[in-house]
Amino acid sequence: MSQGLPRPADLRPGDSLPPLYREIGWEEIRRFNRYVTGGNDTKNIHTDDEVARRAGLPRAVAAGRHPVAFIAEWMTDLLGAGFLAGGEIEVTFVKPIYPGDRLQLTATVNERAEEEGGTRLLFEVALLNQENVPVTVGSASGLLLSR
Amino acid sequence: MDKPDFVWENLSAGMVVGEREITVTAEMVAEHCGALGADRAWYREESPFGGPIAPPMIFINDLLAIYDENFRRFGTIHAKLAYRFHRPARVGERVHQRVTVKDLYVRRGKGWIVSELLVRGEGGDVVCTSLHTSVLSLTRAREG
Repeated sequence: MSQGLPRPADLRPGDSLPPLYREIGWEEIRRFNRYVTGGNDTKNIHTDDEVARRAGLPRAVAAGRHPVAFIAEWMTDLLGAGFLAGGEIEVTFVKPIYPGDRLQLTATVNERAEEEGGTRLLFEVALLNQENVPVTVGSASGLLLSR
Repeated sequence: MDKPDFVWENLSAGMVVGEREITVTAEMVAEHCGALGADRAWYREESPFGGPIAPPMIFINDLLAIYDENFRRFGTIHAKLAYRFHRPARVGERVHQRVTVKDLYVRRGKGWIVSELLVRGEGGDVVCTSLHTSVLSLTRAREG
């Protein structure tokens, strides 16, 4: 779980969360692939450079949806039930993520919007690789619940 | 029977790709958490939802799994992903999943497909929806 998150009720537009870092190495990719295949090690564009090259890619790439789950867990760390029941994520995959990439997750508050269920916190989110290049960009939001 | 290829000519907007029911088990939750390095007491013990719950993205692979049950697919390049979480699935809950083709289009010489995964709980209420935009192999596709 993420450490050092602010109280969500204190967040205002322009505020950023402390960045979160996640590695996507071969082991993480293989573990995710085993999860996808029901425990089997298979060769595909995510796990094998040669298969990826035959598909027109320069080398193996991580599944784009893999790190989206990092964003969901991060938002759950921050907003708890307000993300699990009312949360949204919308992302565009702009660059491939390669085995060995170190991802930085960033989130900045765009808006606090009042709606029927309460106050919605909307974040602009991004995943940057170790060269600070955005690989996935988009938004995430959830409801502020009184604790 | 041979499954059709996952290509433009075998798909159409509005088509229901497949439906199934699955039970969310503690083992599924543990595998998901292990694959993603996720951990949270709510996934194993009590939660504000009255018992252990599944992580929000527990169904992350299920759209492709339902495609694979019905089509022969080599690999899929995703361009966009959107999720809406209505409520968490409970561990032990039986859920209904349906994948539908929402849109097909050609842009800049590439085929694109927008697919929706809709997950409903035991009472028929929506657990989550997700929209996946992916590159689709063009065979006999035509612009316009």
